[in-house]
Amino acid sequence: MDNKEISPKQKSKKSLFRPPWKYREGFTVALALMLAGFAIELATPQPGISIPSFPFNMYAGMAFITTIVFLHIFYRDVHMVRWLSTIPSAISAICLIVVLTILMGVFEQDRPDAGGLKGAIGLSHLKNAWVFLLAQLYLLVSLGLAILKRAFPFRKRNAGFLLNHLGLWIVIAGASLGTGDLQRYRMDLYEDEPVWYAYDSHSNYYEMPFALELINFDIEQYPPQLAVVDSHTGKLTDDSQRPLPYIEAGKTTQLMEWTIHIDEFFPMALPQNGRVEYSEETGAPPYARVRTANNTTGETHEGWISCGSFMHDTKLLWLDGRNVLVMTLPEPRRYFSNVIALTPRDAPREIVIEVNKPPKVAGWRLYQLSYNQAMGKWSDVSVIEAVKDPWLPVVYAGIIMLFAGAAYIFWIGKEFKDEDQAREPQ
Amino acid sequence: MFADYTNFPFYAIIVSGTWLLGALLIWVTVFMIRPVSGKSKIGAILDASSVVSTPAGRVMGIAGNLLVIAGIAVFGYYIILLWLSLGRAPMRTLGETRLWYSFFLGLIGYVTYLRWNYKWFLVYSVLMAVLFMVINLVSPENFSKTLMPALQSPWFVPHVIVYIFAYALLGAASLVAVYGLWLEYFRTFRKTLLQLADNLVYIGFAFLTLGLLFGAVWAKEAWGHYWTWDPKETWAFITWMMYLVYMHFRYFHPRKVRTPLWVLAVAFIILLIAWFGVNYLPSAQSSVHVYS
Repeated sequence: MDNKEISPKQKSKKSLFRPPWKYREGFTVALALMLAGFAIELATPQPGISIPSFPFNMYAGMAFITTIVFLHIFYRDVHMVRWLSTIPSAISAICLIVVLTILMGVFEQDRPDAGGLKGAIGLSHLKNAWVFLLAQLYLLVSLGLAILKRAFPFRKRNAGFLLNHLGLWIVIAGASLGTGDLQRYRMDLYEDEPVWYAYDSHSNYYEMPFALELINFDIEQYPPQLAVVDSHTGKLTDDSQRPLPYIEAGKTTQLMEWTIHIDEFFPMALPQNGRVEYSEETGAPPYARVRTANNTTGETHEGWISCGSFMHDTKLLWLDGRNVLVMTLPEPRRYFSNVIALTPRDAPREIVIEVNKPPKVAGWRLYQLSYNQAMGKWSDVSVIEAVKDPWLPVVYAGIIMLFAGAAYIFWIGKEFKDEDQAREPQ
Repeated sequence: MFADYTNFPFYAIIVSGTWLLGALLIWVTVFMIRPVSGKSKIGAILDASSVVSTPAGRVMGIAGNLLVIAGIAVFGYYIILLWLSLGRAPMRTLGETRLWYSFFLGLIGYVTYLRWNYKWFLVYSVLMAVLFMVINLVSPENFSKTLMPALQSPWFVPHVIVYIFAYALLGAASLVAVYGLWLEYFRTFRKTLLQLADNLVYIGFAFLTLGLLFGAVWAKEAWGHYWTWDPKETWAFITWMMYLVYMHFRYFHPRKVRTPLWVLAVAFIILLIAWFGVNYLPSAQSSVHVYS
């Protein structure tokens, strides 16, 4: 096989699709599939293809697996079937996916209504387009036949190969078929109002098997920071990008030529009866009482500063004729919603829905998605995303195999050298 | 002054100095050798197993090793200091990832040198590491203490570290490829070079896979789905596939030279797009991976 590659003359003599099949046939098949995908997309009225839901996606998957096994058992001696399990076929399939994914990475996606040629042949919604489905099928057939070839009879030294290849097969097939059953809906929760319906991106409404009642939404914040702003430019006076000091009661800090002492700090406060007091009222911003002294001129000032909120103005402190001391808006540390979950079966229970920590209710995962950003931590609405993905265990099984396979590659990386050297004297 | 994380220039100069001097001392020993019969000096630069060092060369080698180790220790100390004073993993801003990148470049360069004795590779890694430190010196980033809620996850640290490790290894593999193409052009290519590339790609690919999978598992926790074809994900996937092509091609055609070298060089361009370029593409308008 290797001898043939060395002689380019011999290669060019062979006409396309005459055995033995190699790369030229592979890339021809890939190109044909791409054109076929674009053609089907053009011929069908609705953009892309939607994977059917359970049980039809499962039937389709079983039929696909049966076909591959059938090909392997009864037709593995047919040249084309054998070629499909070789690396030239695999590389052409990978390259087809790479080309389509690059198009996906360049053009803005999820705009099936984009119109024009881009929309007509599926480039504006590639992940659901016919061409991507055909490319995936080609890859899965090639990968599947290669797996079967190596799996029977089973040998221990093929374990790493099987973990990687079967893991990838399961992830791709499971993720694709799973889109048929993937449900991602939104729920708008208002305080003290149980909500049992959700809506999708096309504003179709669905009744959920549970209800959610928002107790409150809140944002935990980092303390605000001190900054000196040049009133002429509106920018920071110190442009060295040094970290700004955090505001804490009792802290003394240096900010360029000023020494700043923070007497008092309230994360939430309002001016009342001539002085500033802690307050839990809606829109109460942080306040700090500061004393400043210029190290060179000795000029001193004192007063309250505040970054303000959607209801209250900011408060500044002039340091001299040009520079002002300001409080920055605090950055969020944690977004969360306290919610009561109600299901027909169980007693109501209180749950916290927080970014990166989605709780599970009646088989649905709940994600903190959004809130009223103008009102910030006082938002009276919390938008929750409810996700149900019954194929997740399948995909995770594949992911675990790929994890194990990656660990295997890490070890083999060292042995590969010796194997290659051993092959060299042939 | 020794415990102030804002004093990056101080640490950067110490680390750069020890690494550059150490790598230089180690590399110079290449020329302080008696070649084993039948091998040329040029060959020895690529494959040090064919030579015997002179006594002076051995002393310089030891001194170089100690200097490089000292640099790694000081850099590690600085990163721990920064981590403690920020109160979070220093992996959010580009400047902070550059810090890790240069740390791991130095570390990987040294470990690779220890394992396979490629001295020029140590010099290259150290030069790259110093370059990234200089970028951080010229444009210091605001080492802000805050970490946005979406990034507060146990998956964050492994995801980023593993990726940076993979990028450093694959970047090195691509440099090997460019060097290999150059040697191939002058018909002085040696098989050992492609084996080095294989070693780097296999280890780097394992880390790339881990990074991709950590990211997928994290995305499920944070965004509700493990794969959403976010532009960064898309380009990371393309990168992954490119290295797959390299590995399969190498496996199937162990004696071909030019094609795998070109695949490796192109794969690194894709990797760079995935790392920086994505932010500038029209498709990235809604990416969750674009930070300040």
